[in-house]
Amino acid sequence: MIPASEPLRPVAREVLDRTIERGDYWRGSPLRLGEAPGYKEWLHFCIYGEDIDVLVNFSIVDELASHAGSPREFARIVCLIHTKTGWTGDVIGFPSDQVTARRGAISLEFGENRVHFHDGVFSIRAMLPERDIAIELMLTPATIPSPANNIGVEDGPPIHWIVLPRLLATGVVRLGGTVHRLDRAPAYHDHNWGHFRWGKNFAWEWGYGLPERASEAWSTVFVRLSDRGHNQTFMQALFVWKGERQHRVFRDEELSVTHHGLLRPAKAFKLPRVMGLVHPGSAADIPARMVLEAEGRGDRARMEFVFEDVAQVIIPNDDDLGVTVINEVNATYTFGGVIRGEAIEVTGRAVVEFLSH
Amino acid sequence: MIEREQPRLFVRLCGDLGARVIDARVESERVRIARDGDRLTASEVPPTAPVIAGAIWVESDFATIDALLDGETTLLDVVWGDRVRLRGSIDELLGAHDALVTFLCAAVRCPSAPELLKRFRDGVAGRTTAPTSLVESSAA
Repeated sequence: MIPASEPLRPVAREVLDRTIERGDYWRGSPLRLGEAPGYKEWLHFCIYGEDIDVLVNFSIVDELASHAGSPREFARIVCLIHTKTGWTGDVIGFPSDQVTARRGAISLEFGENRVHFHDGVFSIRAMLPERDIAIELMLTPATIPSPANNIGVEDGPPIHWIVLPRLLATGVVRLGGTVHRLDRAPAYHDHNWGHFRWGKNFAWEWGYGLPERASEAWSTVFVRLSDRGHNQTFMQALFVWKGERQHRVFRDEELSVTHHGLLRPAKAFKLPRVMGLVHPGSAADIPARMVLEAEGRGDRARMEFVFEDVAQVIIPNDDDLGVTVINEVNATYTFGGVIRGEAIEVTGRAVVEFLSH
Repeated sequence: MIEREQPRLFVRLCGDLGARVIDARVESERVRIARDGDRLTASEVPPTAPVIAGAIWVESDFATIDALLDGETTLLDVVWGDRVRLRGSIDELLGAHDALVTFLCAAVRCPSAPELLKRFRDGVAGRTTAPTSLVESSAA
């Protein structure tokens, strides 16, 4: 087992790099090939600094609205930052002539901004000048990613994703006049794609936690996909990595999820900010705590999230006048249990997404 | 913009507005919004022109509109706080609110809206000489 604080052996590094290149590459919208619009794809990163949590998301989505007579792809960067004063952030869009997205590679350029994967390292640059946000980071993967394809939702095309739960981030995040320097800070990455439509009969809870101590080997990702009313679970899983490799997955009936209390934010930060006019108010179906209890094949685990603050990314639905709200909630977590005879006790930081309508 | 980029929602917006006339004043700018058949017109009105009988009167300032667009406050808070002042019958005001919601839902789905919003907010901030009016004529 290689703790995250130590460099990977060359063989493990080669496997990791190859897995990322072959799995995390940009697919690209088939709109240019004459297919029907509605495709969505994004690269998502979360970085936990000492006093700062940073979410940065590069997306290209087929816009379904008529624009000069035909649908088109539209690129955006969404950035959310949490500090002691709460959430802030911005959204910035890019016309197609400022966008380069290389299919089959991990290489996006939106104006001066970029995500590249080269020589085993992600390089991210995101500049959002309206809010004086600047991010320049190098992220070194520390775990082998886990893909999931054709995850069905009830009344629409499937969702696909690949999850890379642990990276080490080094670089600078500037927010206003404050510069945060990060040195091997824990980070997370995922990549989603598909023709799924906002507003259809699905919702998700998606959480990822990394330990406070870099020497701790355990990384975790929780996913629960359900119907819109959270009455029927389509799939649920708790993925556990030890070091660079996936070590255990608790699925479906092995896992129970309970919500406790309600997070009652005085005010929820919203992006894009103008969407506060369409979706005012701060009421959200977010618990104060969420507990996962997993048991199966002689293994058991318990993970508890204690939620702190929520930011909302509000997206117009594709087929009706409603909105889909992605609640990004930062948290602390504990993770403990016994897996393959090994006792585990970890504390750390997490972000959980609650998708609601 | 909405007529061009969200034609179905434009039809719905016209239906929601119905026969109502909205007379809106933002500092020294004043516009009258009304339906003309299957079109919507937004006409500039001299600041001292009399209000049409039965029109809904809305008055505010650019700083308040900017704060709403920037998510600093909500429509409810600015009305309660007298930063947006309304005059009309309850039924007419509620109907106008429905039309406003349809307008907002349509606008956030228009590809041109972010650029239009940016121009408006830059104008408010005084960073450019771009017009501050957010109202587009419905002329093709």
